[in-house]
Amino acid sequence: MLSSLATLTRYTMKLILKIARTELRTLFYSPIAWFLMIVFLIQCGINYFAEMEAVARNVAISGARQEFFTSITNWVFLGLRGVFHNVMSNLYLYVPLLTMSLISRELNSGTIKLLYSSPVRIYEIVFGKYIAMMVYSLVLVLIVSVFVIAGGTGIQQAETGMMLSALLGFYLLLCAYCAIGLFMSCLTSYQVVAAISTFVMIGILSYIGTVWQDIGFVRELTYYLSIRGRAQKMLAGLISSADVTYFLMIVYIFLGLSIYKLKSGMESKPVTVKATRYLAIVASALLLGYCSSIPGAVGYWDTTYHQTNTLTPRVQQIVKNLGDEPLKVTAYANLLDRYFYLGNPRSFNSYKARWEPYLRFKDNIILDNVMYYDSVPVTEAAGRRHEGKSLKELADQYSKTLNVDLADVLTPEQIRKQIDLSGENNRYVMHLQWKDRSTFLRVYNDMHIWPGEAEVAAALQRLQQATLPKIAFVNGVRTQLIENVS
Amino acid sequence: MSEPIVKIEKLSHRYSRSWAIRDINMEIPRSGIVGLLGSNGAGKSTTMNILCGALNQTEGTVYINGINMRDHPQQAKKEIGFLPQNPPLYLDLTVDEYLYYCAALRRMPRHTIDKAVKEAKVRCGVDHFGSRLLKNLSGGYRQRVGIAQAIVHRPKLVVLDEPTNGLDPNQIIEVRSLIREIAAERAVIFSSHILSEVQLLCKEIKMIENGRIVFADSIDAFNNYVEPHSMLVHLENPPAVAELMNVQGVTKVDFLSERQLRIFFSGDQEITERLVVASVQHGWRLREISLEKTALDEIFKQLSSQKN
Repeated sequence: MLSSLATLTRYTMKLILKIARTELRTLFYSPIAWFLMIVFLIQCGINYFAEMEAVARNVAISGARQEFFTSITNWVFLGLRGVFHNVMSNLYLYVPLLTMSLISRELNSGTIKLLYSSPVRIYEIVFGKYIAMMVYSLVLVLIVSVFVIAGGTGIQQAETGMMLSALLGFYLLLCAYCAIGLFMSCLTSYQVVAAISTFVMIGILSYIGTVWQDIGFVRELTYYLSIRGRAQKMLAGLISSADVTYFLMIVYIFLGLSIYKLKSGMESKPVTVKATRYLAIVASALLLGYCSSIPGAVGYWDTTYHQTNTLTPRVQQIVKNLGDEPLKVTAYANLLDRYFYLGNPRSFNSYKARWEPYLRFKDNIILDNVMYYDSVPVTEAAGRRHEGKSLKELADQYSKTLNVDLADVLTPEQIRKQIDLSGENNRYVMHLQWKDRSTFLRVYNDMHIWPGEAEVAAALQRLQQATLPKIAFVNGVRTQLIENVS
Repeated sequence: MSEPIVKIEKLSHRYSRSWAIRDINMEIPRSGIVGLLGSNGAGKSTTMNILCGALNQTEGTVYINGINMRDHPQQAKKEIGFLPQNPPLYLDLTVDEYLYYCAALRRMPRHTIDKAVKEAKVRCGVDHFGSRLLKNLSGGYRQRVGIAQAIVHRPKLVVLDEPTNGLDPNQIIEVRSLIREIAAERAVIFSSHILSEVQLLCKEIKMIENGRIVFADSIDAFNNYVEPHSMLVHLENPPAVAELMNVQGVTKVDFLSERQLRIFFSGDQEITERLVVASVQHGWRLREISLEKTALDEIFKQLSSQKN
């Protein structure tokens, strides 16, 4: 029984590979595959040499000190103008042209009937076609690798790990795009329509992370589905199981949909059955995705040489010392404050993302966000705007312009009952609670705004120490009283 | 007689709202050619697509070689070779590549493929085109490759959907003889909207009109239906109508022009003989005589009205 099953899978594998091989053959018989490869090669080349030249120029200017940059690998490959970034942001132009013909050619020429009338299962067709695309994607990865190898041998102490994780990210992104393209190709017998739909779908997945961000449940869903930034983390050298699962999930969704779409082409099931199948695919994928991104269930692999994406060991230790007790972080955002946007429900996901490095080492950090309005210190610019208006009127005005529902915003009376923020001048502040202790964590007026690792670590330390050292400030000239003890 | 290769029971199919075929029952024997005759849009292609598993029926059952197509599509499809209305060719491949691919799709064991492809190519007369790209072949040869793909895995049943459509007269003759050859070892179903083609090739005939079978019997039985009952006659010296009506069997005479007549008759075709004799006797100077075949739609009309 088992051996016959093994033979069966072997035959299935063989057939899938046969379909893949024939698809690749057709792809390479047409000029499009070659043409795209050449264009891709040229694009990578232009980018690589331009960046290399810029590096060389800077070396020439600064001499041996090389004061203008910290990492050449970053500059040439991973930075905003680097090879990978450039290639990835243009990928959506290449993939639809490759995938548009996959199934729609069969639909158009009638060869789909050959497949339908052969003793082939639909999933064998879909997998075969997809494997062909995976192989072609590998060719594109190889082209980029040429430059990675050239860079790796040319750059002293190149960040090999980062480049490899960037290659992985690039490949996963390609695979996800190909799956989308394959599905779109099932939908229509017009190749151009398939290509355009793929563009649109990739576009939707890139922008979906920004829509409905103010609605609780939907926010989680749309942010999760967003493809933007997923590969960017791998460019920065951080591979997380959640991101890898995300790409696999996209592949799963679109291949699953393709299989059911093709199946529905040869049967006449009621619309409800078809719709249920599609929904089941998407729902199961989302469930899987949800489970994979629960803090604590996520695995991380920092491929950078200096572990720059990971908290320093000292801070890790501080986080660890918090033990199993949950840490509650409540952000208080004042509607009238200039840093309100940090606490806008729309940016809740970036708030979460900022805590992710800490969540990696402590999975029970509970994040909360409270909006309120209260008086702010009057600056010159704001003073004119605020002149002669009551707090209520100001809140009305701000809530309208910021598109925030005032019903979700606490009044000064309500917030004062909850917590005294006057010491923080009613600025945006995070209130950290652990066991029975609490402390504030501020944002700053520098270019990062968000507290760095050192500030967060300091706040966590404060929580853990029963008695805090007293710090006194002594000013010269007109000496003031010691007033700041914290 | 052994079990039929195809058994169709109460087959119906609906595209969104309208029924394409309704309540079709048929059995097809293990050898010989069965013709599926019907005008365009009658439901021939739908029936054939369902038969080959390219379309899943709304209702009814199809058994291929005793295997239920719906329950075990993989096994059932192994016994079928299908040539759809447009030959399903990958124009970018060569003939060899294409036929090897088709053989693999039919799950033939690897070591048998070489021989099978060669045989199919020889049988269809494309063996010297092995390395030719399909897009460089003419329509007739493409059709041959299409047929080769349908027989490469030596199926017990070959289904050809309008195989002579769009070919020139020479190619049509070639393809017809090819079909006859193929049918020597297996059952062949082929569809056509051309009556004479079906009469030439088939032993048995199924006629579909408006999604229903209106006739199913041997070709001899069918010929009884399509017996001519009128003829075109050219007389240099035509007599009066009454005189013509005196010839036994003539029922009606129409003058198409001065010397051209259409004569309707009933009974056997000996009327031609009698007419010639009468012409010689009375000096009508017969120049031309031809039997008029009944037009296909005329037969459809007859058959459908009979059925109703």
